[in-house]
Amino acid sequence: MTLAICFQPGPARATEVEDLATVPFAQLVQREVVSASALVRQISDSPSAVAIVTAEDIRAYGYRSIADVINSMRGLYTTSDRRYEYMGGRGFGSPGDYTGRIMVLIDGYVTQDSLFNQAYIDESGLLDLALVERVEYVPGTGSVTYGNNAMLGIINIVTRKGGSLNALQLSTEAGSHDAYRQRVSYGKRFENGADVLLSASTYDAAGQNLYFPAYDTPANNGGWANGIDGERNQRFFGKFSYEGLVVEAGYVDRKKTVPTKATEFSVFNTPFTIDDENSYLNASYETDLGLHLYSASRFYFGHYAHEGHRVIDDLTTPYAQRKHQADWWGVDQKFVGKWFANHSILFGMEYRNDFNQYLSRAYFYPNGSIDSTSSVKENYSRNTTSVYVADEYRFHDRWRLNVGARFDKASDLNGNWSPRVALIFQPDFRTTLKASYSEAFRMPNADDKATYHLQAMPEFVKAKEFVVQHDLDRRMRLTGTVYEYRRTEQMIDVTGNGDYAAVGNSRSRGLEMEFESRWDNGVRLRTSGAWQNARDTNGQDAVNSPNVLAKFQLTSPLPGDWLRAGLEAQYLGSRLTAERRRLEGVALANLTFSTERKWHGMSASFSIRNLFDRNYEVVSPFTWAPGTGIDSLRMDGRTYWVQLNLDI
Amino acid sequence: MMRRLLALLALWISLAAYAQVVSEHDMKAAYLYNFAHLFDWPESSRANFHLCVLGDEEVGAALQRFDERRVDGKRIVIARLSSLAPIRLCDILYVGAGEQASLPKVRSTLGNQPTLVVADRGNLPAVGVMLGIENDRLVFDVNLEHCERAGLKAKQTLLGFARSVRRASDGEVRPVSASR
Repeated sequence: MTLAICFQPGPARATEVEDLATVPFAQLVQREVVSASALVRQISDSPSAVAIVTAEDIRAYGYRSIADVINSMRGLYTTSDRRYEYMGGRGFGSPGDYTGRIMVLIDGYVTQDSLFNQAYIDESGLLDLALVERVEYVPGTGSVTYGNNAMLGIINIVTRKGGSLNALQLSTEAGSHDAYRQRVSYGKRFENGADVLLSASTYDAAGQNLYFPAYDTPANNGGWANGIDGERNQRFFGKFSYEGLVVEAGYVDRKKTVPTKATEFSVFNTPFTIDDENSYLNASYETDLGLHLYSASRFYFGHYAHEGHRVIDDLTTPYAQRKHQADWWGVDQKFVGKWFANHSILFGMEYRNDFNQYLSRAYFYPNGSIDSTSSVKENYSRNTTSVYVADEYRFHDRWRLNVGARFDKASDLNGNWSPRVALIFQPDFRTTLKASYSEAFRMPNADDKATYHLQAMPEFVKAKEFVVQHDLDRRMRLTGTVYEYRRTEQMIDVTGNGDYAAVGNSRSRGLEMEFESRWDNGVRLRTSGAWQNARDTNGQDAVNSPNVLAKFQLTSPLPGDWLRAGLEAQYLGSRLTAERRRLEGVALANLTFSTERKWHGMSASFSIRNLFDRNYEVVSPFTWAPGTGIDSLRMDGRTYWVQLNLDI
Repeated sequence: MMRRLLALLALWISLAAYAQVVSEHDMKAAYLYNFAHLFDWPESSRANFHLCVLGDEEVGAALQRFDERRVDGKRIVIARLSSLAPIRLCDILYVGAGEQASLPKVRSTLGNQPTLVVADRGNLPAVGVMLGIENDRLVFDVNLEHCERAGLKAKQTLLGFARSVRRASDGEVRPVSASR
């Protein structure tokens, strides 16, 4: 019934827009107009409710990684296991599921590695947040546009232009647990329109001595893991743009010591190191061919390498090593034809070649020599050819129909179509309603192939979503969305003895609401709530899927206009651990002060995380000590962080 | 709870739908259409009249309803551009807020060819017409010097409604006493 009300077009306005063409100019200039919204507008053209975090939010709330940004967004949360940060939301996010069923893009480049499909959102990620202009979260499936792996949603990261920095910037940061970062960035826009951004940074954190109650025995140092929580990274980034041409490259190498007993066979309180290296080159050229055909051409190259060393519970070969490497390249040619007034026709093709997918495990004797009999090396490769087409048809002044499909054919799999149909209704310029149905899929990656062998199969999702967006006035916006996802052909252990088959089904549904406002005096407010209900492949409540998520962000300049305060609160509802124990919900607060204006080129910010020093635990992806009732991981208490920048 | 929220949303929507207002981008589109009629265009070999939009999706969408209408007997063709590459084909080029930084490049690319550049705010010397919002009305300033250099003749009706007109002789902005 409510829908019927929503879809009633306003008869008073139905013909008015048509009138504007016939209204004499003399009358037109007298007409009152309503200014466009002052709120940040989405770039992504998607029939879902996009959430946006901009560079000014990043500064105001003291975000330091993409994971922090994700945590601030409606309906999303991240889980850390002191190794990586993992993303969850909308029923996705089972523990240890690498951030892979979403897609993270940097300026159009898909950042997932080609072995695990993992997106790196913590210190192992490619970008310093100081280089980020905005982050857009596009919920819902994206396979119609991006093909493989865009199952839950897309996170689009847009980097800054060099001109917006327009300086040589030196930055230094210090934080709790002996964490330091140094960064130097240079940005400039030249007279002829060419724009350059260059940056390098290094991060080094000593970490903490951590207590794990599951291992509290004298043989295990009383449960204390001492001095093995360090982390360091190096990052480089460069971007050059001139007219429609953009060439950019990024590199990150992150080394981390893992203080937990992260696998069944690893030994507690022994060095367990991981090293992840990601790099890419992305070159794109955008232009208009005549008045009605837009063209975007892109070439990309990606590289990933992982090296891990650990001590394992095996007396003959106590040292284990993992070395993985992957390289890939691809080309994409996209066109948008605007020949017909009421159509935007998108079409194109992509070719991607994952020519090197190498996984290896090796075991060593105490004297350092390799046990070649138990060591494993695996090589895979895949190339994928894709075509896609979509049409946005404006069949009425207020109605649009968006129909599209993408076909992906990988060398080792059958071809697959990912369709999407969306209906968009704008009863007036302040209100948008969107209803969509889409299907998406995920190909088994190299790691899946190594684990499940011939059983490795693609996984699918069918998604339905309804979105209402309404601007109360030009400063306030209300967004509501309801969705349902049905996943099929998920990998499950059929017999309980490791006999995996792609026969699992699950579903999740939910409701999300967000209110956002931005006043002219510099105060900004955003608050959201998400209710979700996710069932796993057994029909039970899904693990690590909170039923409620709430976010609150408020930022305001302080009297004197020199400082800005940003207060953030997040509520993570109760959720189940791997052993189906319920963890209590937890509310956390962060507070940040940042300078509003530069003083002789200097700016600064200061943050307190977990302001009230709450003790809380998160769901852990690995089993600690079965039967002890300890299967969760304690997170940090209150921490501090300060950043100083100098523009020369 | 969910039903109540949806009902609340529906109420807002129906209230908004009945309000008698024109949005900024609809009005801008209507102005651009009127500008096509309020200039004398030099002879051109093109069969159609090209009205181009750069850097503002919403104005581009709002302009679609003027597609196929006529000016001086020519069919109006709306072009939603993504780059500066084809701008020499435009009779009117609207540069939205998203592409303000490109205005110098637009100017140097077009030179003195008869293209009317309309900008959303920005810098008057670089363009023929600049739009702005004043007292909830969409207003515009005309740079006659720039128009004349491009061989465009503004009709008197247009100048009468302009907030200000900059002429070649005075070199500075002089408000015009309009009839309103």
